[in-house]
This record gives sequence, structure tokens and C-alpha cells, in this order.
Amino acid sequence: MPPSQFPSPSHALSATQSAAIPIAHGAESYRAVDEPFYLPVSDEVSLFEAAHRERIPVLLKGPTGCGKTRFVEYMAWHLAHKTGGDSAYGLTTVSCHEDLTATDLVGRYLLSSDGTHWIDGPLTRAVKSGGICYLDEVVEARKDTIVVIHSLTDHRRLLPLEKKGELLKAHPDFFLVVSYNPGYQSSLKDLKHSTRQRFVSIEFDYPAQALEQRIIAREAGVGAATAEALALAGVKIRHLDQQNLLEGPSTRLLIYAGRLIAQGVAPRRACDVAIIQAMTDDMLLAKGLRQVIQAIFP
Amino acid sequence: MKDDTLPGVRAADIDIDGDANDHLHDHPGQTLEGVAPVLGLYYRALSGRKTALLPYGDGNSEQYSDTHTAIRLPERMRRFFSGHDNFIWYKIALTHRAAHYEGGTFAFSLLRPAKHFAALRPSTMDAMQRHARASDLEVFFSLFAQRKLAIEVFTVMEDLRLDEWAKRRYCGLRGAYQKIQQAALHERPSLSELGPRNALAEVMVRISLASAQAFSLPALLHEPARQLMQVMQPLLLQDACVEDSAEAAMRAYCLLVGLPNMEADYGPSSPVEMTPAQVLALHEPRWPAIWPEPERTHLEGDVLATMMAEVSYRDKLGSRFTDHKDAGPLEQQAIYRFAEADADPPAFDTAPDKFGAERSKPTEAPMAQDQHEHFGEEEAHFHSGQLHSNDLLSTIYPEWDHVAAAYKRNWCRVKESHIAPVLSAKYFEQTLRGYGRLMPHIQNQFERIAREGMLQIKRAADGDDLDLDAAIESMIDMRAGRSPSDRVYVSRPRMARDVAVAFLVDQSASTAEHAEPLSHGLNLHGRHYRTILDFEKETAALLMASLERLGDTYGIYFFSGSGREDVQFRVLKDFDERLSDRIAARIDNIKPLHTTRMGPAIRHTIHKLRGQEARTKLLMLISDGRPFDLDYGQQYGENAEVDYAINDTRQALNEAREAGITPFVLTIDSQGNDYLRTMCDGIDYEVLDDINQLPTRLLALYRTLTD
Repeated sequence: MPPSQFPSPSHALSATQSAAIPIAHGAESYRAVDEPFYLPVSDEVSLFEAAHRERIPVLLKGPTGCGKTRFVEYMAWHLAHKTGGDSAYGLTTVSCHEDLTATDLVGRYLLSSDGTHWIDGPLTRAVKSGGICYLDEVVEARKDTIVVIHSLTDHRRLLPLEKKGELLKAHPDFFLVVSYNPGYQSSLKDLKHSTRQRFVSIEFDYPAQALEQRIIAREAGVGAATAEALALAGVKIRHLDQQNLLEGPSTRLLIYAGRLIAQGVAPRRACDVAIIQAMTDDMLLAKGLRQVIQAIFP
Repeated sequence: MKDDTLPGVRAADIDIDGDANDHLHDHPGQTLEGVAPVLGLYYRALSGRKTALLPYGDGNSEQYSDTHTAIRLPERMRRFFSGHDNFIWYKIALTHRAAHYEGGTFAFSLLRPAKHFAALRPSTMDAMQRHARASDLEVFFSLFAQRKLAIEVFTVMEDLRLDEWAKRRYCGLRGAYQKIQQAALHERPSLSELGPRNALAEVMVRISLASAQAFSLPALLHEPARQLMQVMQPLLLQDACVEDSAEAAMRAYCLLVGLPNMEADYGPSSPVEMTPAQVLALHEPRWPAIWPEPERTHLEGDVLATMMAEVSYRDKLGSRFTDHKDAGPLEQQAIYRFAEADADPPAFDTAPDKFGAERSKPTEAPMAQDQHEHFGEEEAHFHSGQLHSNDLLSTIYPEWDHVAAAYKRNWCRVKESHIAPVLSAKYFEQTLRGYGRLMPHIQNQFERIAREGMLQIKRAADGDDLDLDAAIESMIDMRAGRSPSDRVYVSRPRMARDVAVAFLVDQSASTAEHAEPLSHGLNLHGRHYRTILDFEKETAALLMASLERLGDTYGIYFFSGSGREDVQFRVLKDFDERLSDRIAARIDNIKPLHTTRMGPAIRHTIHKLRGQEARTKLLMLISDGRPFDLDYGQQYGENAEVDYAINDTRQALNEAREAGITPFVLTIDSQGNDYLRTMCDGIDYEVLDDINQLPTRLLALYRTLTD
């Protein structure tokens, strides 16, 4: 990345400490002002609270689009409100990918007009300022990258900044959350055991039909009948599990379909573009799914 | 009714008489084969069950009952003039079948109260002869003296409830559902030709098909028909449950057996007045309080059993809910008939007493050779023939049965063993010497791969570290007032090689065949000929020598076997072994064995590769022919084993892909293209015309695949 796109460290720090809205530089930390909409499925809220009190890192696992990220946003808000704060904890999200290196997380030296200087990575910023650091889809990152969090996630709570020769003590409010999707079923995409066993794992799945219906109605702004039909379609299509489809339609896709319907798109067409085409390129499978949609929607 | 015409529907008797010649110019209809791929997915989505869709013959209108794992539908549907309508017929038939599972037919509970009826079921039923294996539905049917009639009445009630339920749940199907029901009504027998009991039963079926027409019945039946209507009304309600169907069935059953059993012609017909208001105003008759109902009805001279014509799109519940021991063989017999289309259809069962007691026994011969295990009930399916692992080095794997579209659990035993070494690594050394001229070339190639893996890219626009030279130049430019370059980083793509490869080599009997003699007359092993296995072994030796230099993790395995309990998986070199003289000396001991059951060997290799931590995982399958084994699909008939074996292998290769492993198939079979296209759908493969190319080609492929 060209150096000019990086903000100065002081800028980054002041931004996380200050006000309420997402920060401008495309960044990873923001505070929610309003309560994010989240319907608890079972005991995940109390588990998360307990882990947070003990500062035990949390791993969220579940299929794509089932609400992991929303849950973290909600918890950032919820935890702050429980302790009487008026805005949420800062939430730093890093979407992991194959080319993410330890440098990207921790920080690097950059050139400027008057020499080189150090710029903190998102993880370092969160460690310094406190708040929740959320590594999304952590298995996508290379295993050697993730090793940098090891010393942060046990009793030491230290982040070594190798290139600076520093050891950074985590802010008391620093809390690490990671998520991954076990559905890929690939041992390539799996966490090292030494990494995995540093977290308590909360398992997520698609919400039950009635709950999903409420979520769709609320998020997509559609009537109860449409939401019910969409939730039913979700349940039915998920029956075509691993053998036919890699992953069932996520709640997010159902909400997208609902939004299109709310915008006046015909229901069958909305499901076609938002659900079927998003899930598969296989003609036969798409035909089968279309039969299900045509049965549910007039 | 038959005289009426319904737009779009062919006359009902075409199918029954098989006299379709006049209609050949019409739409040929839909075949089950044509619609099954799409509707199979549809059914699975709706019901959440894996079920095979199987056809029954065209000329035979006999309907077969389903099992939990197999649904039978007509081979061809041409009841309607438009192809779309015929398709819809199949779709509604499957929707109805799925509704049994979604709507809870088989979740019936004796003790759960009905929502819209007071309980006629005795409260002491739980204490009645319930034995461990009987389902609640079966105990329920034991309440009736005429058990078979009770089952049929219950089925009609449940069909009504579920059809209405499905129409509400699947709004998109409502119109189609009504159309199919109208067509079904169109095929009903005429009321005037039926005796009182059969006529009332027919009225019951028509009400269940949402008939809007007024019935014309003799005066004797007016009151029972109105009462029947009243009994069936609550089943239309949204929250009606299976227990409501059961209660309604008890009442309808009483109405039926309360009628005299006589022939047709018992008085002139007149329309029955059945407005909703009239039906509601009826006061409920006194239903019997003791069940089984008193002997009276049983003894009243049941010469003629009550008969109901089937509704074509609905299924028969068959043995699915009775859990009846007797139902087992009956089911199998029906299936056998289905397989043998020319067998006589059975006479209509008129047995008035215990269900199954007077069923004709299945003939001995078909039963003896009946191997259709997957057609039976799930339990039988899963508990037959499963294997258990009883020593450390054998592992049990499932097998894919493409006919049943399901895995056979615990089906194959893979026995892993290390090949015993001979005294010296003669074969290995001879091979390396023989290929001496080729070796430097091969090794050059491999060293190039190794170098490529270590590359650093300097002066990159993005990277982990500063490129010091570039940074200094950039600073100089800046101080000198020139515009500096921003390419000042070092990027290290991917690290060094991170590859694990498993070679899976066919060691079956066919590899003993002599290969074409070499043009340059290379006499490697003191013999004037070489076998296919020789080439495989030489390739293995070259691989070992080359890969050891490259430092990749690799394993070389040979496989063969005899039957599903004995799949031999022989280790030449395992992933965690280092090449040594002892290992090189193993090659001498590789001899042709028996058959080629590829599926389990691939699954075992996947298992081994899973244990490897590498970015790139590769499975190379090297074989001299198509998969074959003694008990590998032969149960489906003479020529079925080809498809079966190929489908299982394909499934195993797909499993590899799902496990993040790249499979590659290399075959030395000139006819290979025929089956490889199916077997390797979406998977890379190559057919070698000349076996002499095997070593060089494999090494070249290795380079491209791991690059």
C-alpha cells in the first residue's frame, strides 16, 4: 500500500478515543451509537459477558451470514451500556485473508518526507486503546500470522512489536474475539490447535424458523406473511446440505430477498436473484431450488 | 362424473386401457426419469429426507406403497394435454408425500389430545397391549375390528388435512393443487353403481378432494353423508393435527360400518342438501364408548368389504406407520413385482379381518435372490452388512451407492500394511541406472521448482519489509528534489514450498500384463519384457529419488483387494518416513494382487492427507483401468457394476476435493476416455497412450500441479 494512504499513529489513536461514529480512514474501529438489532438465540449473550469479565478470548464459529458479526457489534454496545457508558466499546474489525501478514496486524515502518516512522497496525491500536478487537474469518489468514496473538491471549496479555523491539502490555479493556466458519471442511483452512485452545468457543447456527422470521421482518421491513414465507424457504433449502450445496442460504440472503420484495420486486424473482443465484451456478440445482420457491411464493 | 369433461385433462380411461394410440399426436407427457433430477431436489428440500424416486410401469395402474427411503411414481405421466400440467402432477404428488413428514403423520401420539374433537380414543389405551416395537399408530389401529378399513379411512382423513395444510403453506401451489384435485375428482367412479358402504366411502374421498359438487344419493345415505361432512369439517382448519385425523377417522369409520352391507340399487337418488349451516346445525350422533366397537358391527355379515378407489396423486402409507412385522415381506414382495414388470398384479385384497393375515405369501424364488436391501426399511438398511474395525491397522469406510443416493455406512475395510523390504534395493538402483541419461534432465526440472519457491520480490509496491536499497534511493531522490519511487518494499510471496503429495498406485492383477517392448530395447531387470506394474514401480523409484531432493512431503501407496472386507492398502513410503535403503528395497516386493476397488483406497489416502499440514495437497491416482471389485455394485444387476464403481470413485474424488485436496487421475488405459469423463467430472485427468511415457509424464505433471 502506498505510504500516503496510512494515517499517522497519533491520528489513529485520537480517532478511536473520540466520538461516536465510524472513523473516516476506511478503518477498523468504530462505536455504535444506537443499539444494534440482535435477537439472542440461546445463552450466547451471558456466555460472552462472563468471558468478557474474565477477559478470556472468544471464538465464534458458525456458517456465513448467521449473525456473528452483528452479535459482536451488539455485544460491544451491550457491554458498555451495562457498565453505564453512553456509547459502545470501540470495535476494531479485521477481515482476515490469505495475504494478511503479521506486519499488517501489528504495524510497520513507513517512509515519509523526513525519514521512516512507525505506524501501528489495527491490532496494536486496539491493544493500546482497549475495546474489542474482532478478527473476522480468522482461518483465512496464514497460520504463522495468527501466532502473533498467542502472547496476547494467555495470562501475559502482551503484544511483542518485534521490529521496534517493544513489548506492549494490553489495555485492561482490550478484548479479543475471532470468528470462523467451520463449514469449509478443509484441513487447509483450520486453526492450529495451539491457537484454538486459547479461546472459549461459542457455536452459532441459523436461528430457528420463528426467530428467523422475526429477524427478516425487522431487518427487511416486510410483512409477517412474506417474512414467514422467506423463513420457510430458508429452512427448506437448507435441507439440501453439504452433498448438494456447500452452504445453505444465510439469514443475510433471506433478508436481501426480503428487501428486494419490500422494494416492489416480485417475490419469485427476488428469491431467484438474492437466494438461488447467490448460492449456486449449477443449472440443475437452481431448477430444483426454483421449484421450492415457486411452491412457497405465488 | 366420467361424462363430464374437464379442460386440459385427458379422458381418464386412457391409462387404464393402455389405448393411447389415438392420442399419439398429443403431448407425450412427462417421464419420471425426466423430472426426477429436479423434483428429487425439490422433494428433499421439502421433506429433508434422502429418498430414491423409482418408476413403476406404464400399463399397470396398480399403485405401490412407499417406504421411508423410496417413493414410487408412474414411469410416465400423460394424464394432461400440456407437458407442464403433467410436470405439475408429479410435483403435487411429491408435495403430498413430503407433507406426511412435514405435517407429522408419523408423529402421531396416542395420548396427545385432538384439537377439535373430544377423545373417543379410550383413556386406558396406553395400558393396552402395547409392546415395545409397536408404533402409536399401530396400537391405534388395533382398536378397530376392521383394521384395514380403519387404515384406509384414517388415510383419507389425513390426506384431506395435509392437502389443505399444504395449500396454505405453499401458496404458490394452490392453483396447481386445485387443478390436480379437480382432475382426480374427474376420475372417480360413479356413485350410482356402488352399494351403500362403498358409496359413502366414495363421498368421503370426494369431500377429501374438496369437491364442490352436490352429491346425489339414495335417501338412506343423506343423513350419514351430512354427518360425514360435519366430521370432516374440522380437518380443514389451520391448527388441525394428526390426532384430529385419528378422531375423525373413528367417527367416519362408525358411519361406514353402521350402514347395511348390500349391493347397489337401494332406492332412487336425490341431491343431498349440505349447506354449511345445515351441517353445523346437525347434532352429533352418539358414538360408541367402547373400543374395539362391539361385536355387532363385526358380525353383521361383512360379505363385501368396503372398497375405495385410489386417488392417483396420493400415496399409500403402506408399512411406514404400522411398524407391522407382517408388513416387511409384503413390502418386499411389492418391490419385487415392481422390478419384474411382467408379473401378475395381485388380486384386490378383500380380507375383512386382521391386516396381512390373508395376504398371499411372497413366492420363495424372488425372495431368495432379492438383494434390494436398500429398498427395505431404513433400519434394515442401516443394520445389514456393516463392518467393524477390529485391529489397529484396518479402517472402515463408507461407500457411495448412487442408486440409493446414499452412503452405505461402515461398508469397506481397508487394511494398511507396509511392504516388507527384500535384502537389497536392487530394483531401485537398476531403475535409476537405467534412467541414468534421463535423470539429470528430470532433476534439473525439480531443482528449478525448488528455486522458484524461494523467490523474494524486491522493489515491490507493497510488502512486509522495507527494501533497503530502494528506500535509500528513494530518500536520495527526495532530497535531490526528484519524485521518489514508492516501490520500496520486499514482498515474499507464499514462503517456500508447502506441498504434500500422495501417490496412489493400482496394484491389481491386470498390471501383470506385458507392456509394449521399448523401442530402444532397454533391458532393465534382466527380463526381455516389462509389465505395467514394472513401469509403475520404476516411476515410484524415480519419484522417490527426485522428490527427496526437492524436500516435498510425499507418500507412495499401492492398493488392491478382494471384496469390500479386504481392501489392501500397501505402503511403499509413508509421509513421515525418510527415504532409506530399507524403503528403497521395498519396491522389489510389489507384486500384482487382485481387484481395483478405488473408492476406499482414495478415502484412506484422504484420511492420510488430512493429517498433513501443507498448503497444497495433491492426490495422484495412477491406474491401468476402470475400478472393479467382486461385490462392487453387482447387486443391481449384471451391467450395473460399471456405473456403481465409477460413481463411488467419483464420490470419493469429490470428497478429496472437499477436504482441500487436489485429485488427479492418470490412466494407462486406451479406453480410459469412455469412463473417465464421467468418473472425473470436474476433476483433472489424463490418459496415457504409451506407457513408456509414464515416468516422464508423471514428473512433468507433478511440476505443473504443485506449482
